[in-house]
Amino acid sequence: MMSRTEERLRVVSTDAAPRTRVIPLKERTLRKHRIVAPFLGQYEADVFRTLRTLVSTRMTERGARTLGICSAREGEGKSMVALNLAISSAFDVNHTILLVELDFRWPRLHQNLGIRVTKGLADVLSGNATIGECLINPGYERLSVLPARATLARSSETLASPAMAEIAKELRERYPDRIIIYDLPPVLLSDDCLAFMQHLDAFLFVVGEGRTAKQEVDRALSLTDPAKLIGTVLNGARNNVDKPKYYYANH
Amino acid sequence: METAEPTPNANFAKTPGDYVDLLKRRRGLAFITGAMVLAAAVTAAVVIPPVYRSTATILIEEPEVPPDLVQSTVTSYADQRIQMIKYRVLTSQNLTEIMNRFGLYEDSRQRRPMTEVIDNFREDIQVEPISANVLNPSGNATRATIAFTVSYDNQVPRLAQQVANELVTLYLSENAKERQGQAAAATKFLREESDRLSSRIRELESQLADFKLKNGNTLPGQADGNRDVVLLTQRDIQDIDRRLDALKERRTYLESEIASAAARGPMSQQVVDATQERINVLQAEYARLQSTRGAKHPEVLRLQDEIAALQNPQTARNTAARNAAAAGTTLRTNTPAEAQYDQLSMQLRGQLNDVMSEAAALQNQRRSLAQTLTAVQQRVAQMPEVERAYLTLSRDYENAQRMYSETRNKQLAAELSEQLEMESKSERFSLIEPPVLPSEPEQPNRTLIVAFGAMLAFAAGIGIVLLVDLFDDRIHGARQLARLTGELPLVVVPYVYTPRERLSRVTQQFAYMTTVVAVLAVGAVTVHQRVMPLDVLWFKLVATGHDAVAAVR
Repeated sequence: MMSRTEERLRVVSTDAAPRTRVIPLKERTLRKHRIVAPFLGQYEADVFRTLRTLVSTRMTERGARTLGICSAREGEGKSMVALNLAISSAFDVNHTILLVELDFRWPRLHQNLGIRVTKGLADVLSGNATIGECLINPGYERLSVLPARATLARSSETLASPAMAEIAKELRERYPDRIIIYDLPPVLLSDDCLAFMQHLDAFLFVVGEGRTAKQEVDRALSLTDPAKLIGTVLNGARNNVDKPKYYYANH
Repeated sequence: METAEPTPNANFAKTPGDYVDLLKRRRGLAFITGAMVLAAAVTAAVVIPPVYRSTATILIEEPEVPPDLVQSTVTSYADQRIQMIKYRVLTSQNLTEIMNRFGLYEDSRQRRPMTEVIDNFREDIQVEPISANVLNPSGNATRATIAFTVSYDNQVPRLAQQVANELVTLYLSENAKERQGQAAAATKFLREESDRLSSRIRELESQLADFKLKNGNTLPGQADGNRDVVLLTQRDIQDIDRRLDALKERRTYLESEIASAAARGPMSQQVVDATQERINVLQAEYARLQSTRGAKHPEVLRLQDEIAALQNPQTARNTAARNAAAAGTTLRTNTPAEAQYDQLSMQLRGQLNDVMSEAAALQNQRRSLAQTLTAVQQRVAQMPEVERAYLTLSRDYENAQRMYSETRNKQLAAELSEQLEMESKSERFSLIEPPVLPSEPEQPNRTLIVAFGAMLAFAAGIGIVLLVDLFDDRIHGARQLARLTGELPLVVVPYVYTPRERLSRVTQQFAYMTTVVAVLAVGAVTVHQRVMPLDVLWFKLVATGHDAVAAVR
């Protein structure tokens, strides 16, 4: 079974830019970081597939091309949801996906994928790198990621900076049929989410079960543009989940 | 799994599933709380010192003489009496004495005030009635108290028995004393009451006699008599009037006879008339002279003498005779016819005098009769008032007499009843079951405490979870999120376990289970050794279950 998975993972990039690095992922790493989307046939993967379908439908309705993933606080699983969603979306043949990590307080996209990066968005912002140098293909067709790589001082002001706006514009225009998923920092912990909202066509709000207080969710939502909210995700539910037995057969 | 097709009007209310999730989520807290409560209950069950109860049963026996024959004056219900005696028996004095005799509550007595110790003693004494369905005298079914129990609790079985015995003795003797006392009191009261009434009767009798004396004539019974007197008196008066009338007629007749006799009678009457004529003349002269010459004038005085002399019949006669002689005529002496005439005249005059005096007497009589009539009529007028007063007085008297006779009857009955009590032939208490030496403690009911503790633990576990959840404002469950955002989440992503987490989870659960098993084992062993053997406990539980089912039926 291991080999079969590995087979799936070792994909040669197709339409990514020639400079994009292709890095195959190890299953162990994925499992360690709760990446479940690749393991089709499992219940969790199906959940993300459903999410992908719903998101895709709604975005198509609005003609949206950029999607932000927010949460109220840290630790709600926003990054995990973002990555899983991105991978799951990549299995849909209609689009290519770019996942951009904007959480400069705790950048770990590269860790989650188990890859070493030398250049990331932080470097682009500080002028030490270009976007193209930082794009990575984690082994799935139609998926690219742009990790942050490092923390930034005064990260809370970054999103509103003109440099960031420039990057967002470039990303958007560069690949017209690409869906860009932005992994945003927690709304309550950064001052400028609302500022960045202008670059987003839509956003998804992730809530960690048993982690956030109701008023925090309320407050977070008030700091966003409600018109662009296409739905919420409850993450990390331990109860009330009916896992039909036959899902375990494949594992 | 809840996924979103937004249902705008759905009510994302809490379901029972939410509570189940809550419990599952907080099972640790629930379990620990429950365990603590249960441990406390078990400790209490084990630690509380046993208390033994010794109980005596006293039967309330029927009277030997049926109440129809002799009605008892002790009429309080048995329940009431039991409680009353309880207060009379369990006096501080009695209890202190018993305490001293048996050395009870030694350490309490040193630490606490005496009144508190006595109260504790009282609380350890139970007096409970036993009732049954009986037929009362009129044949209806009622519940009556037929017996009662007296019991005492103590940590030492022997003491429980001894003190219970003491109490029972006190109870029995107090009851007899009390019943006799009550009967005697009733008798005494009635006796005093009848004495009072009889003296009142005497008083009223004398009042009545005085009244009769004072108002003898105006008493109601006299009405007829008085009326008769009035009638008779009136008749008598009429009678007298008639007689007076008759006398008057006779007088008139006599006077006329006298007058006519005088007309027939010659000389004497002549003499009389002449004399009278002379007197008249002289009197006229006298009057004239007196007025012109005064009363002392000799002429006047001489006339006076003359008149006086004429008025004297003898001198009148002499004068007349002299005058006759002077005139040359002689005074005729009475012829037999004239003498006869004089006699007749004198008789007539005598009769006239009789008539006059009779009339006067009759007038007097009539006056006195009239007075009598007036008096009697006055009496009659007073009668209504007197009648009223009399009736009041006699009514009081009758009432007093009636009350007295009633009271006397009651008094006699009470004396009989008192006799009944003294010979113990009425209802009485008798001991049918003396207090036994208790072999098993009354308290604590360990099984009950543990069972109750278990229930409480269960409730406490749930309760504390609910309480904590009240203060938890974090989001649990898709529906809660939906309540906030107005829409169910697109998906609910289950918690993804990393391999490491999965392992630790398994380890955790294993450790958990082991602990639980260990605790149960230790608990079972403890119960088996310290409280009672487990098989006995099992049978007890089964028996209790049977009893419960039987009681419900």
